[in-house]
Amino acid sequence: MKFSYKLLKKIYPGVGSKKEITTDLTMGLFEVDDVLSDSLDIKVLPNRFSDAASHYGIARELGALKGKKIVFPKEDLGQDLGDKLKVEIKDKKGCFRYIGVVMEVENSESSPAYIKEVLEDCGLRPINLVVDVMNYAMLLTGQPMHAFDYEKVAKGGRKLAEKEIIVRRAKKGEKIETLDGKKMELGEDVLVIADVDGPLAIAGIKGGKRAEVNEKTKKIIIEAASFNQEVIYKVAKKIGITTDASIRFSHNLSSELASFGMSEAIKILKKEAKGKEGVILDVYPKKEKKKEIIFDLEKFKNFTGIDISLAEISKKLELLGFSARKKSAHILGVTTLVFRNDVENFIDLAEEVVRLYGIYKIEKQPLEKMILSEKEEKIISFKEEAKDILSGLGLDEVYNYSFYGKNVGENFVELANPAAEDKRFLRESLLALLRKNVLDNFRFFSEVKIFEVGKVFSWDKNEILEKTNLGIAVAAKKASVFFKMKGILEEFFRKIGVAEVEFKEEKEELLVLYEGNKIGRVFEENLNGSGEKVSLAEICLDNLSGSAFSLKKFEEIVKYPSVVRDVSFLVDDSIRAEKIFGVLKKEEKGEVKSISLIDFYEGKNLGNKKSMTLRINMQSGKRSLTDEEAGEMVKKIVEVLKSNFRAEIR
Amino acid sequence: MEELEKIEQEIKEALETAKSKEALEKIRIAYLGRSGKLTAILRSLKDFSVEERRKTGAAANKLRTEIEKVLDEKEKKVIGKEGGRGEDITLLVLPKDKVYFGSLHPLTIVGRDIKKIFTSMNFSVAEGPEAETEYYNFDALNIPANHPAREMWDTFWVKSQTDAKDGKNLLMRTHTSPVQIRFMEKHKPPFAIIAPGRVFRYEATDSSHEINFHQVEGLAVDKKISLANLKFVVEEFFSRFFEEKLSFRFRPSYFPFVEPGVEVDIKLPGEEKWLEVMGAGMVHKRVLEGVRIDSEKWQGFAFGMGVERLAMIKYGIPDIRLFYSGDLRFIKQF
Repeated sequence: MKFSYKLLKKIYPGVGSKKEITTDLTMGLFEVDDVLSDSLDIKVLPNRFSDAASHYGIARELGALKGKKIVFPKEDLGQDLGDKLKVEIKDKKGCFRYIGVVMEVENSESSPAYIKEVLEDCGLRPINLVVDVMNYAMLLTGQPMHAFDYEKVAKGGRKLAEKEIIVRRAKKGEKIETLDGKKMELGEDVLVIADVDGPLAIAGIKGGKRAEVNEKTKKIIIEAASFNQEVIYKVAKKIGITTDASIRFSHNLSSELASFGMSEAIKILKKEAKGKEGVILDVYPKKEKKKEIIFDLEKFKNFTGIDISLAEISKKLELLGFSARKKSAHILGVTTLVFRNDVENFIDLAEEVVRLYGIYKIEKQPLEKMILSEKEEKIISFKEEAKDILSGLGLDEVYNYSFYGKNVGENFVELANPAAEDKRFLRESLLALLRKNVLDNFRFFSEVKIFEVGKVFSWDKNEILEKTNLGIAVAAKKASVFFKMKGILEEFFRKIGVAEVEFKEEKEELLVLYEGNKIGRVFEENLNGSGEKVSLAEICLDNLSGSAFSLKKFEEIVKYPSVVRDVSFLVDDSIRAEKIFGVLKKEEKGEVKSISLIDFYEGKNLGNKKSMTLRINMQSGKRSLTDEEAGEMVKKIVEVLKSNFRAEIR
Repeated sequence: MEELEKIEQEIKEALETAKSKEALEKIRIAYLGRSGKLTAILRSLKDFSVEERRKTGAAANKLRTEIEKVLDEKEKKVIGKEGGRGEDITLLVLPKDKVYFGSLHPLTIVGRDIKKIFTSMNFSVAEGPEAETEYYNFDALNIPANHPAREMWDTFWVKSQTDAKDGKNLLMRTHTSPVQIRFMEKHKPPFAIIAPGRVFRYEATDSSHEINFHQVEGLAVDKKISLANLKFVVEEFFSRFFEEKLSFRFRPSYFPFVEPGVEVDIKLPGEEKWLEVMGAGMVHKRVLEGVRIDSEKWQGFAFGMGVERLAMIKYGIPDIRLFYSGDLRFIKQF
């Protein structure tokens, strides 16, 4: 929000240079974004619009930071001179206060230079004297003001010859032409300022054309009102109009601000437009009340770690316009400033004291008491351990977006407001973007081995199911790396200590099974448009985290040597290797420690057969195995191969 | 180039047989001396084409460095041997069987650095869902509906399958702060946690803005935790993280879920500019009450910071979008 340095200085001559203001405000109140000649761009925080989105408000804060109390002008709404105006608030939920003042003005042409300058510094365009004074009063006090041309407002009801202002919701089909010439139909939720003929303005947001004030205007109705923050916010959003007034009202302004704004506006109009006020009507059904807040010094010290006396605190609060009364040695009774609708309790007050004291001045202190750490969810450390294993296996880690454009799953989650078409869906799998990573990196690398650990999303009834997945992509130009991928996975599962993971072949891919449940898949495919192949795997880590890295038990190291025998054989091409291993797995028992595949060959010279070589590892925990014993065991396995798969031993 | 390869082969053989200091010195003179063979090649470079010069020059220089290194090593060993104990002179071999350790993403590395520092201060790590309800992301954090304060967080909304009730609307969490609420619902104070994770903002991307990025949230609640403690923990964290003597600036700010709200700026040694690195404050009374923690009895601080931002400052990364590019030329640097 833009502020005028000149106006600040006029209110508080001791305000200091622009540079000083910037430092004072940044360290004690709000950040100053920018300083451009006499215009200061101050970031007014959303909870401080009621008291500090104004030059008086900022001046008060600057004064308080420097130890000077800024005295505000006395409010003076003038006296009733007998002109007739009636105001009716029909919507008491939408409007809390409405002050209407009728005033005759001698001139409404151009504003004096001092007003124009301030408006321009604050980014507002001067229009004519009356309108400019409305804006000027707003800049001074923070209260948005509006003026209607008295003559253009319809007469009141049949019997009355007076003007009548009504605050109500728009009726169905009611229309308005706004000041900038936009015609629109109003919905029934729109709060309007109306006369008997219809809407004159969209309350708190934008004035209407019908009662527009121009240079020729001689008599005006000035409005200073207080509206429900939520109503204005919703309506402004819905009709898509943002104005200075709508922004301010959306932030919840105190109803007390209305009389301050009106008082200042009248004062300036009297002087600059030789205004003569008439009726002053203040409809204010439920006056905002100040309440006393108890401030406890001990609590404050415990909360902030600041060592300060009650007298100092009292002084600081007084600088802000609060009144503080000492109740006991460590208790103050504090009545806040009316505009400060953000201050409701002790902590709100504590914040004010801390701010004026200077957050930067607080002495740091280590925690007095040690807090014992909590037990963490296993997945948190498991993810990191998984990453370490994979990078140890030579894979690089990537991070991709959580969004993508196409989603082939059934239960994909769609965004209502995607950033772009190619980011319309939440990823249901990590693989789509890993593929893209491989393709992109093939421009610079002939081999790409990458992984990502991240969340994937899908609908599960009406809830989003979030899973932590591991995605792996391995690819090398002009080569199939499927077995490298499988090797990576096997080593990964071995390292995390879940031996129960199995691979099952199904339709061109391997399913990864854990305790019989599918936890992932591995497959190879052509990389889109590159003529290259990529091997992809995706594993759900949630299912594994429970049993990964479970406590290991030491096993006695066997003293006796192991015996190794290799067996080569031919089997029918149609027999899947997976099946053979399924059967052999059962033979891995007793002294047969492992049976592994060490060679595999398919070729024309073998016809429709394939050749496999197995390595059988045998060992006893009690003694050295003899050749004969080993031979017996191998023979048994050969028999199994023969009877199950009609294997021919080579 | 062929000449060069020949020389390399010759040297290897010569080195293999050289077993004394004198023999090594002879090799040095024969190849690297003023009229040595390798020196001759380097001298003759000026007669080559630009392309050839570049290629051969680089290779010849590399070879020279290698030989010098091996000669020095051997000399040490030979001296050792002459002192009584010796080993075989090893071969000059350029790395052949290259072993490769993968790179972790810089955000993983920085994330771990952060976790390590906080866990050393007895904070525990908690996580929460990335798709959240409006309640956890906003309402429970005292961010009022229909108030402009909510616009501090531009939100991605999930297209709902059914008509959701108030507060049940689904969205992509805009900060890690909902984890505070989820944690407090299940635990009794005292506790101190950090909650790292991915967050989302519906905004235009540029070199410092992304639609998804990472945050670390912090929360500590006990009976006597004060603003002064917050300052200690924050300063301790950043000083350890950057391993430098930093300047700090704590100034007022506003986040609906804390009061007072604080913005933390740091300045690296020798730099002019203050960098905004963290939002923090004392946990708001209403947030505590919302999770049934008695705010008269318990109090604490909370903070939040962007992981990308810290990584960018630490490593001098100029563009946030690099983190999500999947570009291995970027990742392999870490």
